[in-house]
Amino acid sequence: MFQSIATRSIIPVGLAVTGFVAIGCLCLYSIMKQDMIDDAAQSGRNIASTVVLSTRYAMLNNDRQHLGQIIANIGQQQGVEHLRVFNHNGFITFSRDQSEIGQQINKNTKGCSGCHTGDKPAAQLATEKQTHRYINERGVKVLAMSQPIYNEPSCSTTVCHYHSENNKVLGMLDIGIDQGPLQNSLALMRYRMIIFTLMTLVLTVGGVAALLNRSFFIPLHKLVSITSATEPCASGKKLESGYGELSLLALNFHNLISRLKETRESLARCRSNDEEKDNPEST
Amino acid sequence: MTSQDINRESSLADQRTALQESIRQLQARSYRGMWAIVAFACASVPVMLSEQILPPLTPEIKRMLGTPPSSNMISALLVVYAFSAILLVLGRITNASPKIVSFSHIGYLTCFYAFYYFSGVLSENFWAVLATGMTILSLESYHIWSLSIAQIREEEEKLVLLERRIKN
Repeated sequence: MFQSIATRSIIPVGLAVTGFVAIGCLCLYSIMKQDMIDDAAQSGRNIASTVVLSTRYAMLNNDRQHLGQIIANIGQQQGVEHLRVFNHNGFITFSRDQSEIGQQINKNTKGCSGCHTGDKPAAQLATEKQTHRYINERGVKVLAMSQPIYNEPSCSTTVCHYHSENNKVLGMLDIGIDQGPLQNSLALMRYRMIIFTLMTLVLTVGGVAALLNRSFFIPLHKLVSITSATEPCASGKKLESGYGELSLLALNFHNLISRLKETRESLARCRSNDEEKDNPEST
Repeated sequence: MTSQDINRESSLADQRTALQESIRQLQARSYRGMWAIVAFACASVPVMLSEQILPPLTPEIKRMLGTPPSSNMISALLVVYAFSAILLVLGRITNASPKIVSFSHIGYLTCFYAFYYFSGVLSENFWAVLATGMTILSLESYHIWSLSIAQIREEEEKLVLLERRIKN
């Protein structure tokens, strides 16, 4: 079966096309997924930045009630999984979830290890390190962004404040966005790509197979059946013209057989003549 | 029996042994592509479980290695690599070239796994590398197998002729 021309033609084409389309789709899906996650992270960072800017005035005035209200209101927005503010020592000072307030965060957790790796925490946090993904205790996939609250001259020079100039980072705003809608979009995109890939494969491999079948395998089978006959010319079978080289091959074969038959007949006639000459009395 | 006949018989017997050895080697060669697929699949199993079995890269190692290439750049390179490798295999199939390059592909594909791992996006791109490897190695395997089978047939025909000569 594997030695037939049909199999030998279809297998390499099918493998090459199927494989390359699958590779292309997988790479494309991975790139698009990364782009969508980057976009979601960017909008998450924008939200975090907006929260920091919104709370700036309340922070400067040390208006803790107003600050807590802003955090609670924004935290109630659909898709926000958590919203909290840590102080310099890692204690949660404000949170959407009131029960978290006063708890200390472990510096070795994924979101904190970006800065707290060495003996001294990093003062500046790279943009890509501000984002991390994890599955929370409720099994929700969360895209979390950490926005540092940097010390400003207005924070350390006003009379009401006690932040030292040496503290580069006063705290951290941590916001977690539910990745559910993003995952749903990705799943939808994945199914569409699978369907598109399958349709492309069916069309490509099917098209190649149909063309090969019509222009090559059907005339080839006819040719094989003609040449396999015990009396190829006597059977009356003939390959129709219009199959290009295969028709020419069939014609050449037909001519060859006809010439062979003529030669055999002439040879037989010569032999019978010779026999008549050798034995004239037998006639 | 003359010494010439004895020499002729021993020469034919040598030829037969050489043909049988050649057939045996070709049969072994026809499975080389399959072995490459198995080796690649075995190499991919620990990669698939890398999140569970491999420790995360420490910041010191990351600093030592420097900035990794972006995942998009690696993916673009993977597509170019897959495209050229498939074209080369198809070219070898067309020319019935006896060149075998299966095992070097395992090395290249392992490098892709390593690059994705150092960039921290291995889990997202694992299936793309696996599909690339399986496609290239399957094509390569099919080429080696079909070429070897054709050569085995030729050698078997030669052997049949030789057996006839020995009998006569």
